[in-house]
Amino acid sequence: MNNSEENNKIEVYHRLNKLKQKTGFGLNDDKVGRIDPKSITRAQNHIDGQEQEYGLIVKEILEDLAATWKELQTCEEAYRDDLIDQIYNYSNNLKDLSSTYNHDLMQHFSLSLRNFCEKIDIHKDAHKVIVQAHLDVMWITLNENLKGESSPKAEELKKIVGQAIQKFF
Amino acid sequence: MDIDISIEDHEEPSYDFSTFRVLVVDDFSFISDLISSTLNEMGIGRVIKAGNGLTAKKHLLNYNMVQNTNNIDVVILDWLMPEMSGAAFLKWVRGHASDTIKFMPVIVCTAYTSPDFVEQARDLGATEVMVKPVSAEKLAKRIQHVIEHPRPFIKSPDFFGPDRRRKIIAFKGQDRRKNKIEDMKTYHE
Repeated sequence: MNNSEENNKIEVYHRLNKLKQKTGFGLNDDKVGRIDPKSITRAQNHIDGQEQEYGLIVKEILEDLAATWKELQTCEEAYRDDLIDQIYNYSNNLKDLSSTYNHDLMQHFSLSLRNFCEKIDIHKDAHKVIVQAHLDVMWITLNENLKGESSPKAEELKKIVGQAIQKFF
Repeated sequence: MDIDISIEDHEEPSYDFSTFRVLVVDDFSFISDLISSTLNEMGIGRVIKAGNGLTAKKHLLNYNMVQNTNNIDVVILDWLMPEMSGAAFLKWVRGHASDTIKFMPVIVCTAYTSPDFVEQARDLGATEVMVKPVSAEKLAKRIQHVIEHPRPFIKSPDFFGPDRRRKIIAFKGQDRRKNKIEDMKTYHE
């Protein structure tokens, strides 16, 4: 076998399971361990308990979104991409938060805004209308504590954004 | 593979996580706090947080350059982050010279669920992919899987990471995969 063939060989590394050893098992222990189920229940209760922060955190993100959006409309060209990235990140965070607590309508709008960030052209008035429509309906969703996607009010808000996108995009 | 973590009594002993260290990398502080405190409730001894890939790199260099009991054991990594993304961080981890960094189990935590995304994360060397939203059960399953089912690492000209093949399935057509023993160099720690 020449050097080239030798160098093209796939290398396979079998490692000792030191992770399992660190959790109190022997290196060659065949026993399957588990995470204490009571601790998992406790942990989930903790996650559920944090829902009380939901409204406050969403409000903060929406304020950040609104401020960044305002800045984006007046800033110099050189800063635009960074600001659009920020809006993308805020929308993504909002989506993660709302999905954690099953706020489906907020998740719907934040995902929609995040996806729209990939297409924003700040020179087009139509795009400004679409972003503003997202921000408006997200504030209403928060202030009226709308959780699900299927109530008449939720359908109405989705229609507003849907129409803005259809009409202007 | 599903792992039974039901709350009924089992004979299996529980892990002792008191010396376990997990690095949580997420730019959204609410989610990183949520994951951290969830891990603490499960008994994880120490959770270290980083708001982006750059800070995460500093933590790994600080804790893992030399093998010792203070090493970070698992990384839980958000994908979409400013400054240094999850993808860039994972690439850095798998390309590092130190064994205590490059073999690190990395659980990618993301809202992206498309097959393209999973393939991308896998090709960059992700150990596991956990789909958001975060729940205690999902976190527990992924951590248990990493502990109980470590995969061998593969190094090829264009890949370094945990073996991407969970099953060896017969391939229709020309099979270019290198499965023969003479195509491989095997190392045991």
